[in-house]
Amino acid sequence: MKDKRPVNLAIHTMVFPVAALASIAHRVSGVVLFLGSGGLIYALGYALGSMAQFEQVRAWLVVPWVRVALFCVVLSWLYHTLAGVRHLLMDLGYGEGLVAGRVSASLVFLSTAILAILMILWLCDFDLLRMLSL
Amino acid sequence: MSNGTNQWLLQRFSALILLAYTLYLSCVVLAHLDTPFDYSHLVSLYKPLWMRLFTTLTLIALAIHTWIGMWSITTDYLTERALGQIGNGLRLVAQALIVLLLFAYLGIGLSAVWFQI
Repeated sequence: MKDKRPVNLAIHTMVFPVAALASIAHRVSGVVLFLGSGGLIYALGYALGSMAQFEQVRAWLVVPWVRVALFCVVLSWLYHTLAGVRHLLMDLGYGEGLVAGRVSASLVFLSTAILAILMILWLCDFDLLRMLSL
Repeated sequence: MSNGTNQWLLQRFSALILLAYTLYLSCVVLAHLDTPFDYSHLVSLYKPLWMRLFTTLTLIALAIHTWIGMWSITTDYLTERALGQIGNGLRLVAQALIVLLLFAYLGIGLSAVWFQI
């Protein structure tokens, strides 16, 4: 029998705990990876075919929208992996408390952001090694 | 009793395999950051037998891990409660398409690693 109690689905009016944001981001990044991994696997296979095909893939990666799509997939991979490690640690019993959950979720977002910035800098041919050795 | 324990374990186990592969590829990327990466480098990366086997294992782990994840998502959102009568049918169709797509990924990946080089 259908439940007749009222529901509040106006999620745009709600403020979410950081752990909740971490969780939905984990799910979204998972879907992006599902959609994107096919392209990545296909590109790998094609690039392995011959030197000419490899160069074709390299030429593809310079096209702007391809770069953006690749960045989205790699960013998702980065985030999903870090958030996944957080999940595994919680499965082992580490960081299951309220404050610990908040801290670890924030750490995951922060480290993803840092690595993403480093990635963008590298993509823009910034001299990363020289910057890091300063 | 079907209580999801097997899926829970498979999800974690496949995650560890995927993590290992991710870490290995990251090391390769970091090693090549400032040097040009060309066809010969890619081939020498995937030519060794152990790397082909590792990649094969990872491709299978990817299919399992992704299926469990997408199953969770489809059973969360494509439901009768959310979408009415059509919900069940949509979910089953979506799950079927997902399985086919995952099989395609596996096939393309295996052919890349065993038949392309």
